[in-house]
Amino acid sequence: MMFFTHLAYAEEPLAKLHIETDGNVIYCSTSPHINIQKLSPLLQDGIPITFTWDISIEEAHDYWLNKDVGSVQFYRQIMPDLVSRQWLLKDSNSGISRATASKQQALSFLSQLQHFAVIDKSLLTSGSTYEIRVRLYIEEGEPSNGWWSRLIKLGKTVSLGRFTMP
Amino acid sequence: MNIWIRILPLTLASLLWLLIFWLWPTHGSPTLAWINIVLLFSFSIALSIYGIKLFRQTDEPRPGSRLRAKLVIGLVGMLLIPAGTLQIAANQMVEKGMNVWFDVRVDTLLDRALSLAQGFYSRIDHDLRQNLVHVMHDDVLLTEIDNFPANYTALNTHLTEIIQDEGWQSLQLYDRNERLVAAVELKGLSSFKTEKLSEQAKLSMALGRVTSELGKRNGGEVLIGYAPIEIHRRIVGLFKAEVALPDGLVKHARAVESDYRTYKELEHHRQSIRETFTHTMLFVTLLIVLAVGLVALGFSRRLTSPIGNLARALKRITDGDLDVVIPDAPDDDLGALVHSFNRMSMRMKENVEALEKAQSDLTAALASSEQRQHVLETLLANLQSGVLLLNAEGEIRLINESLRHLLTLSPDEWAVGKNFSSLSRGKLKMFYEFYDELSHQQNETLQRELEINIQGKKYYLLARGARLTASDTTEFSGYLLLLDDVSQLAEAQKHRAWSEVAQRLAHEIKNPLTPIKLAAERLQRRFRNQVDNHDVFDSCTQAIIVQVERLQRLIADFSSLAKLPKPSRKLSPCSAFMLEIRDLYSAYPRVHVENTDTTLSCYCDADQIRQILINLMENALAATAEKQQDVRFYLTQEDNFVLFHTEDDGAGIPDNVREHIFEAYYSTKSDGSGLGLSIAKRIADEHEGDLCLVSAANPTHFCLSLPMQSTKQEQA
Repeated sequence: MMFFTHLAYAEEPLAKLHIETDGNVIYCSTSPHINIQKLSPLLQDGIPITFTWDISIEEAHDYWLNKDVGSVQFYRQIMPDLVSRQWLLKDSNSGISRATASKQQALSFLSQLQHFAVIDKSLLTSGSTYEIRVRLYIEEGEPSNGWWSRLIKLGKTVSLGRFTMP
Repeated sequence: MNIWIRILPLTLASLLWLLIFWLWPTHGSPTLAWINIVLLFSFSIALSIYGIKLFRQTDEPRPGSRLRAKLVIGLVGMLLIPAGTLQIAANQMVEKGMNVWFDVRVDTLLDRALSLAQGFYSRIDHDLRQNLVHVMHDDVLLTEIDNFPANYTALNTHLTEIIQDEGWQSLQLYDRNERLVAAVELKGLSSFKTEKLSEQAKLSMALGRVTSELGKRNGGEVLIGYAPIEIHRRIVGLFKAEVALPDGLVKHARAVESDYRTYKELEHHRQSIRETFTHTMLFVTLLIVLAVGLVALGFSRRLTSPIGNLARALKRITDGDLDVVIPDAPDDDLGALVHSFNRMSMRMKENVEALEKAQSDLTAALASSEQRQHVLETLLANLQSGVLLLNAEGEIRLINESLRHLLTLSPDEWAVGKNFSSLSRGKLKMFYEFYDELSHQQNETLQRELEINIQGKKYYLLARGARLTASDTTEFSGYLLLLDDVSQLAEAQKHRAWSEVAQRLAHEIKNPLTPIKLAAERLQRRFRNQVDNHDVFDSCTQAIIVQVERLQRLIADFSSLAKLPKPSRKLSPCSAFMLEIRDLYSAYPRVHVENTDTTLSCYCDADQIRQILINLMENALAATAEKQQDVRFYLTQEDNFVLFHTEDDGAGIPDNVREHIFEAYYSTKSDGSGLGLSIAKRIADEHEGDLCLVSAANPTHFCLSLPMQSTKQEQA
């Protein structure tokens, strides 16, 4: 059951976005400022929490709107198993689903993005400046797949970074 | 408009502003809260604008708008009260319900239930882990594994014994490379296929610890335990043991877990649920209020539209526009009212048109009557005849100025409404007697000549009267009296009579006079020497001759009077007359002629005027002959007339003579014919001038006035 989309867990300021290049792929890493203390009781009560990450890359323009280059969206979810006192972790991007008994590990899995492949370098223009924006949608309860849920889903930019293609 | 009605929208708007302030969403409030705020904000803005507009409205509002506002306010108000009450009651019910739902006893119960489920699982997990620990420390087994695959049969048998002893469903053996090397199942091995190890299994092998996790097999849950195989202090493989969880217990445990989760989720969102309910109720209430308001507006507009039309139509009728017809009328009581109004308006228009027509006719009649009256008054005013209209009682109904002027009547005394008989005194007694005779005679008309003395002058008046009787067109009855001054006519007739007499006498007497005179002269010449007394003879014959000559002059004057020629007028310089008189009477030093060098001219027959002037001078000289008094002759100008004046300082004219001096054949002289002044007066009249006696004595002053230019008639 999902009641509302909450943004209360994401806090200011924006987290630093580490952008790195490895081979032909642009990666990013970030640790958004998430109030874990507020999420912990929910998990303790067995309420699933889903973090939907929306990572978009735009060509930055100084005097005009940025141009969309691409975006990727995935979610990470913690499903508490109250019977076994374990946390089932799901990552839609990798498809890996595993269980852990460590709540801290589960929260880190949920709220940190490490070395995430954003885009292939061949899609970018040399000399252009690009902006990577990380938006986060946090949902409590079972995520709803209804069309209306997307309309009322309110996300928040939690991290932002720029880089210029050499 | 009532002050309460005026301030009501602003009051409601203020309440809405307070409600907005009170309900302002906090961080994390549902989206519906913002929608409600937007709705309330819209309502309050609309009400504020309407309230300000209503408050600032000074002129008369549109007809029906007040009723419409009252209806809308009434209907919305009737809805708001129960809706508000319902909202408060529902909120209270939700609050109470939540307190019941999230009771601590339920919380405890669920905690205990979950604890039971967890205990059940923990027990199985603990047993599995303990048994796996025993297995992983079973030296025989480890030796068999170490010697694998040489003693495969012994290992398989050993593993089978273990699962039978422990009650496991299966036991699998993986090598370091995560390959399945041995497997036994309680129900017999169904397949021997390597499955990818889970992260938990890898973790177990990596850490060298016993771990466990839940899995699903054939629709049921199993508990999977992992234990590393450590031989010679080196991990060479992994035990994977599965224990089937009892379906019934698992089902109950999962149900408890699900209920617990749902309960906790609800409890966690308790505030949100309450807010959601409140805002949903408020949202629905606002939508209903909006819908009811719109319906009320439409309903009131439909209801008040005919009333507004009626009010506007009434205003137009009040402003005088009677061409008012209300076209649209609903099929209800208001429609009947509208139809009645239209009929009333139509009848009113017909009545007003009839009234206007009557007024027009009356105005035309009045104008015609006034015109007739004006014509009559003008006619009467310009009529030379005096007109007097009396009613049957003898009261004056109409009198014209000519009559007042003729009889020198006082306008205050002789006015409409006065009684004729009481006014007719003295000199007017004859006029009343004429009226009296008319009113008592049988004939309808009467005519008499009246001789009335007014201000010492005798006037000959022709009185005519007619009796007016009521007819079909008029109910008036009375008497119409007309009075004409026929003095001049009588004078003219008198002159004409005298002229005829004079002509006859002249004709009859003139003829024998010449033979008589010749005979007397012959007698004087032939028989003078034959008579004894020459003196007597001469005296007698001379007397005959003198008297005959006198008779001849008298007859000549009669002829002049009778045959006075028509004047041949032309513009003549007055100085010529003045000089002629001066030269003619230059022998008389007492004659003083002035203004001889005048530049004035008069339009006259010079011979006839000269005759008048000489006549006047002769009379003046005769009057002053005895005492040799002065005679003055001079000229003046007044308007378009020149005035010849003769003044003498003689004895003057007695009063009893004065009024007769211009009458023919009236003379105080023994040898006068009495025609001199009469002829002079007549010549002056025929010149459109006048000869008058200005003063009878001291001095005796005559004035002859003559026009300075010809009349328009003559010019034409």
